[in-house]
Amino acid sequence: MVSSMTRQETADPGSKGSPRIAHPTDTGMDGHSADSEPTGEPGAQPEKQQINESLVTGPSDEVVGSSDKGKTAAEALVALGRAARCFLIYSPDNEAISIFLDNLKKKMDSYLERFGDMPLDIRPWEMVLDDEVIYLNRDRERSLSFRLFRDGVRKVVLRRGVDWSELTRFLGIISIRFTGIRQQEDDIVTLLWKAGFKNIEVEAVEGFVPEDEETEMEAAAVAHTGAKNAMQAMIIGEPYTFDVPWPEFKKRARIRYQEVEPDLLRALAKEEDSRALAGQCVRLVWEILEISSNPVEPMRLQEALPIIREIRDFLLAEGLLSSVLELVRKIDETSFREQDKDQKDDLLRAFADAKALGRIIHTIPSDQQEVPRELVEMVDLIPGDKFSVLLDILEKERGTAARRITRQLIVREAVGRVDYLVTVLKRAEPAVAVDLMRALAQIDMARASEVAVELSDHDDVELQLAALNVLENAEYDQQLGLGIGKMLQADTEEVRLRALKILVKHKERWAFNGIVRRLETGSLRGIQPREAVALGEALASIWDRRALHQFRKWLKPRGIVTRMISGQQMLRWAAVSGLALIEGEEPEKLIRWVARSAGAELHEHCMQSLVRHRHKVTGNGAKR
Amino acid sequence: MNEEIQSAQQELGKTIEQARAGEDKALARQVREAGEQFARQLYGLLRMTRIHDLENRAFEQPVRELRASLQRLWDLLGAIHLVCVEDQVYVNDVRIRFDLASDHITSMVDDLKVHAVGGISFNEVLDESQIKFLITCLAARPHPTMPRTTLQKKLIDAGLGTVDLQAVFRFRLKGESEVSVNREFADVYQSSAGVVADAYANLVANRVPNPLPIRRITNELIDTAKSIDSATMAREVDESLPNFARHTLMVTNLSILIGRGAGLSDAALGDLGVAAMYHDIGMSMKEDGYRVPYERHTGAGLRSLIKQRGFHEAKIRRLLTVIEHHRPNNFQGRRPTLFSRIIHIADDYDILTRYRPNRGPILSHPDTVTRMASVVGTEYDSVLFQLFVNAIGLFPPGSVLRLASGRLVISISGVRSRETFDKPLCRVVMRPDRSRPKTEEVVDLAREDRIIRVVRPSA
Repeated sequence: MVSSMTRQETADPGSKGSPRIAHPTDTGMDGHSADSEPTGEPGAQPEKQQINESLVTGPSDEVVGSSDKGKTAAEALVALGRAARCFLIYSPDNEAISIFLDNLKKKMDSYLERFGDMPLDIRPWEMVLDDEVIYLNRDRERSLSFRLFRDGVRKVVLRRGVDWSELTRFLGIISIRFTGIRQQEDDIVTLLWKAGFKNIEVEAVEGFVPEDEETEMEAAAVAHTGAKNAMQAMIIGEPYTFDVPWPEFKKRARIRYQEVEPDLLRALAKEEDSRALAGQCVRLVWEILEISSNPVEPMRLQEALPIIREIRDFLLAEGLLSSVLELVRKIDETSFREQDKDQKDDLLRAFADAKALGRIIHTIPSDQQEVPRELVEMVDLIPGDKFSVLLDILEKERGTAARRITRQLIVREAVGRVDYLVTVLKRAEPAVAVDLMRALAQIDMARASEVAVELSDHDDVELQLAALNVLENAEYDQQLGLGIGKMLQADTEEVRLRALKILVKHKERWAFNGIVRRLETGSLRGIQPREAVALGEALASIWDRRALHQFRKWLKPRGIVTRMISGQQMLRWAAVSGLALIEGEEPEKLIRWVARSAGAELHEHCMQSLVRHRHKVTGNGAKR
Repeated sequence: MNEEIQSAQQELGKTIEQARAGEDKALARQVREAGEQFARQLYGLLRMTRIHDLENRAFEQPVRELRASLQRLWDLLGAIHLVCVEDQVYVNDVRIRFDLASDHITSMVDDLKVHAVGGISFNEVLDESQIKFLITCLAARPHPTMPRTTLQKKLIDAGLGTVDLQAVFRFRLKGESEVSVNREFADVYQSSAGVVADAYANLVANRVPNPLPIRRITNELIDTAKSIDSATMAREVDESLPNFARHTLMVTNLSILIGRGAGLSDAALGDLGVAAMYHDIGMSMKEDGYRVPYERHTGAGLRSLIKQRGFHEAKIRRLLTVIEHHRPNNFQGRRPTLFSRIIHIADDYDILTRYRPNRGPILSHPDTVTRMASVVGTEYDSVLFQLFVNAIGLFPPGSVLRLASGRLVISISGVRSRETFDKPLCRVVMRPDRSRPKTEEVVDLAREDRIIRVVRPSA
């Protein structure tokens, strides 16, 4: 039986591919004792977020049904248990979770379609369907039945009509328990009560009841009714003083029974749906600040800080920037008591720490080009140095839009602090330095081009390209040209070609020899035709007469030995490309001469160059 | 992967994130640690009695430690309830972990079970001699027929009346009870007073709010009130409650009534009910030993409830309700939240109709409703007020009425139908000959007699 079950399992994602590993408690992955409550903290999850189903499945999941119905139900329950556990192992957005969910859906659909309702009795280690044990797991950490039983669930009936949305909500409640979260407001029984399932019946314990009653016990209890301690006695014994003075209404009005329109009822219900929550959060903070800044009230800002931070985190998680801004505005406007002023700044800063700003920036839509107005205002309202916070974000954030927005914020923060920006840029990781370079260029182009020249021989390609971007747009001078010239020796072809393009643009004749050298050495070291073409064209563009002379030398070298030098082929490619751009008859003749003795590829290149040459001549006003 | 699965994953991720935001990890850890320590120490002491006499000095240190744990738990939670259910041990709803290998759970459960004891509530911190006495009693041979009762009496006689011994517990299944629904609502309503007293006492003692027991009892109220006239039933039970709880529970009950009329889901009604339970907590708070004045009770309520950690939408709405529940419908251009507007109606209605010692109620029930109706729109939300009126009628439960027949009656029903809006069921309190009925006499005003006068009871 066991071996056949194992085979069965290998077909589902619970055991697919990855070899079974030891129980997580052995591996130290979650480190809980058999009866422990996992912390549920993200930090407690393994950093590695690759799919490793064995962490979720473990050796204890057993499909134990014997009948066809039992086995099918068992598979669905094993899938349910795994889907509930997977949130303990993986972060909620991990793709592994979708595999477990997909499997759950398939297994559950399969049962419900074939057999209808699934009434389950929950026991500590087992689940029973029609007197048949169909789930057995004695591992307290992993057992779905144990978790349900321990939390007071004694019977679950999944009706045939249960839809995926309901099943997802049910799974959500179970998952909360598997991840070890203990909420202040709810336990599993209140969560199940709240869920109001239509097609899932849950029979949960409603509390504890005495197993027996000693009748005399009641007499004893009577002797000890009322307050159980001094504090209760004070509460219970209080005279009635609630809510005085009472309201006074001088007039009366007629009342009658009147049905309330459904639209009005719907509007009321809407007020309490989750979309209204953000507004209520802002309003609560507003009230809290009013009270804590009122000298008559004993409540100090310090007492309110935790809830304000909780609200901040909620709004940030929901990406509700305008609500966050409202809070920042209100905090900024509030005149706090003298002793609370330091905390006011602390509080404001909490809205722009790396976590807060990072979350806001992370949720910015990918098509957002400019910093949202609210974000600008918010950052401006917050005291202190946001520069380092933004740098932190830049180091972590990978999204293009988020980096763009962060960079724009850095530009705003760095105005007047160029020296600091340059210092940070030079020390920064290349990925961050690239963005800082772009930011610097926006603030001070001259300074940016200086830095770009300095970084021109940096070994990071992205940074070299960023420097080239700056240099391309900077005011050109010889110093700049020298920096760019160095990049002709860069390791990356893309960098060399971009540098070449700039030199060509400025017809930098001093670069001629450098290009020749690059071609001659490159031709011996496997330069690619694409670069040879670009270099040849560059020579012709920068200094055509001298280029013609150089091409002649490469195409018709003196001495048989020189002709046979390896790499000569690439020099010929370069020369033909350059000749195409030089006016006159000699370039055409030289190209034809090369074509006659060229192999197929070079011949083709020559033919194309001739076309270009003719086109150029015609385009230039035609000597023919 | 299809869209359905992806959106389920997103929804589940959000559910987990929201739940995580609602945690107070630090408090849960402290309670669990202190609870474990306490349960282990208690178990250790019980075991030691098998080897040593309690006068042995070996007990001094463990007894001191148990007292320290008791004090620590008391500081965190107030009254401490150690409960053994089946093979599990809970301290104030937090399940205690035991080392399975040493099998402590069943041992301690068994040690208590010989006295037919399933749990012990410590309503005060015991001193060392009291702890020793309790251990002595638990270690002694149980009474053969009435072990728990005998033990409880022994404790009371020794001045340990603050220690409550509970019967052996088992889990109760939903729907298990055979008692009638009406009876159950009354039971729940009455037992709510104790839960509210605990919650208030803890807040007054400056402890962190724990809304879970309040939420459970509120959910029970919602369930049991579904098929009954809860406005009437609550009125019937009201007099048996201590003063402080009457207003709180009546406002809760009336708020749920309005909320139900508004079509709120049970989950939203639960949140509304919990908010109503706490709405006047500020009135119980003390500052520098003095009661907080009425003008600042909302701020004081906020100050005590704000200590609860963890984000939860119910908490946000509850805090707003505490602040706003006296505000008019249009307060500085802003309308209070739905919960606040509901509770405002229920609160004012109860304030005006509540019987006060030496004074009676401020207004009769029918007069209260018609006077409140005069400020609908400005003071009260018109839709919510109409829902309230539709539920309690022109002569709400508790109205004292003189009938054309000369009988004096008390209204005992809310609105049964549109037609009976002003014709409630009534109980006769005085016959035309001024005699009082010996058994309950009910008049259905939809069928007989008519009202000629509303009576406001005096002191």
